[in-house]
Amino acid sequence: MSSTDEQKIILVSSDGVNIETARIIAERSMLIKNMIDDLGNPGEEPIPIMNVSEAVLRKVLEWCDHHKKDAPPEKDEDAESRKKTTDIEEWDQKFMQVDQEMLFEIILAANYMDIKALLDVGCKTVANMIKGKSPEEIRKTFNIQNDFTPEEEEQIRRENEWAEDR
Amino acid sequence: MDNTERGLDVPHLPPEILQMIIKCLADTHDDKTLLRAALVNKEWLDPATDFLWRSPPPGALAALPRPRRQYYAAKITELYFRHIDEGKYHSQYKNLQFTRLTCIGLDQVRLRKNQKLFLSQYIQPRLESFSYWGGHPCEDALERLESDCPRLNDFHAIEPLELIFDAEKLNKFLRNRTSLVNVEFGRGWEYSLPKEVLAQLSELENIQRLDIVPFLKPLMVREVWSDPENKFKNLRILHIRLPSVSVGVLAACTPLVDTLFLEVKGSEQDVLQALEPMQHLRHLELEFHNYDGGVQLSVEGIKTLGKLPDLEILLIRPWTRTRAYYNNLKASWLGDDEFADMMSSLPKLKSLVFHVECSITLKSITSLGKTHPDMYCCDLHGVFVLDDWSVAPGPVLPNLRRLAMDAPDLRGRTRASSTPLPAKVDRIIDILLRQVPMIEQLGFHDFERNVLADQVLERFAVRIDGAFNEKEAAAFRPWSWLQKNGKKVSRTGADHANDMELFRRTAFGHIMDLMHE
Repeated sequence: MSSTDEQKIILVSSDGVNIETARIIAERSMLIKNMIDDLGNPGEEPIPIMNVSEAVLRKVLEWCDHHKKDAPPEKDEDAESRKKTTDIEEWDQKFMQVDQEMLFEIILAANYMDIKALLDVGCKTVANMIKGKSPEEIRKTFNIQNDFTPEEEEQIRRENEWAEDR
Repeated sequence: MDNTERGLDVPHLPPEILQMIIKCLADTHDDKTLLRAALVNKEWLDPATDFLWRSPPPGALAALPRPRRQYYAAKITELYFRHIDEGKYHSQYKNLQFTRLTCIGLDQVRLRKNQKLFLSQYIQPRLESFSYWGGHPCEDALERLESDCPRLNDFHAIEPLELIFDAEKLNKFLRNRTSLVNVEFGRGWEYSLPKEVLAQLSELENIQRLDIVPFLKPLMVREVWSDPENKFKNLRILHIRLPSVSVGVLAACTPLVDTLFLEVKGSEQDVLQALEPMQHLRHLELEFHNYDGGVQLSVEGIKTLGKLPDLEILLIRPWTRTRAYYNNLKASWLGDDEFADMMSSLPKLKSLVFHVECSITLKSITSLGKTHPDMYCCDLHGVFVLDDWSVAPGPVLPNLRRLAMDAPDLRGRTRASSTPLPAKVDRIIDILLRQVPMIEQLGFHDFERNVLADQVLERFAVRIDGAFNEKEAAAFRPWSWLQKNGKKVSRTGADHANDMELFRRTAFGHIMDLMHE
């Protein structure tokens, strides 16, 4: 293992807690990787992660630790189009078994910290929660207010009813 | 804690993340769930219908009240009119803006008196693929495609767009629309594809795939392509129909082509020998149209195949109309030893379809397991007696996915008639599954007349998952046919991996000779 891999850095959560982690783990986040590249001298100054609280940041780093040996994120579109399923690997599935608040917080953190693979897993987890549910069940699951009038709802149903037979 | 209480703590997902989640649903083609997501609330409606309406059935818009059509029309990225009856929608849609449209497929339109065909609503700046089956639009569609569609990659015209064909105008379009990569001229160009256009096509550096469906005349081929100036610059995939005397002329001016679908009429010239200049060929499909005479493949011709060092996929067969199967393609000199010689000169071959009447036996198929262990398709002419495989330690062909022949047979130790048919059928399937363990598709060309073959197929479908098994294997189909029938096709002609996939789908799909109709 090279010295860069062992190097420690300190992240500061939005609620002001210092978290020490290995650079290789933190660099799953493109946000952190770019910051380190820009700042130089990694490890000297703590890096603030403005929008992510301690509990969520620790959870995100747990994911990064497990995936630190994965191939670096690919940029080309082909790579993206290859995994067009909602299949999630087993470890990630277990990792995502958290309450809904934490799930959404992880997704938001992954988005903010630019960790594409984690964002992907998060979105797929939510998509799997939607599958097979009626609109009302979806609203219940995610506590969403129905702001359609019954007439509007009926109209949308009618306009899109061809999709029922596809 | 009930949902409402819990919900207070759940953060709101921003629109871009909601869109990503809904995209996950769309990627699995789960339209029902997308529809339910659209009904959740106003925030979900847009992203859900954005995906739901990417490629709707063409009549879906017409079923809406007029004021609602534009809202959905702007979401459509692919629109395929696949039936002549759907032509009525063009006039109903003529005032809509299909701003996100990337692919349009337009089936033949039959116009009534004083009726006009409107197409410009589909000719939008994002358009990448334009397929047209005929009907003559009232606007200048070619001009619009040239000036308004900077991303246009694919141009498929089954017949000329104009009633009065103007070669210079078509050439101007081909010259100026430099984004074009794939071009197809369908059967409606029989009398309208002049040599100026053919010469223009060979000059274009951007063209990578060309499909010309009508048979070209020898004089025209000679006039255009004996001129060394008219050598194709970057063409990789070519589908063309030629008289045998023209094959050599064309082969000399298509040096970079790696995928050739060639249909040949007549046997004045040895076609295989004429292909020698095409040193990059990786995928060759050759069909012979010979109604009476028949064709003898020569020793030299078969030797020429060995001079094409990259050949991976080879198909040689007579062209057949509909289901009638007859074979007048012969190489009577070719036995097991000669077959072994041929195969040893084709070390990279992974797929062989060889419907040539010759005198090879099961020994030839068996030897492929050793000489070509990676082969996934073997499709030969003739009835093969499988007895040797019943005693051979297996598997003979460990990786083969598709095996086809005229019919199988089993002689057994006693007279054939003494073994009851069902037992024979089961024994054949046992042998096949043991010796070809990866088999997904089994095909018998003679199955309708051969009771044994027929029953083996039937039982085979039961024994493995019948969904994989197709009774007929068909060769290459033109691009437009695939599009019209909703098959996914690769966009870039040069993409080999996709190309291979395309081949697998077309060659093994249950697709009959519609292009010949």
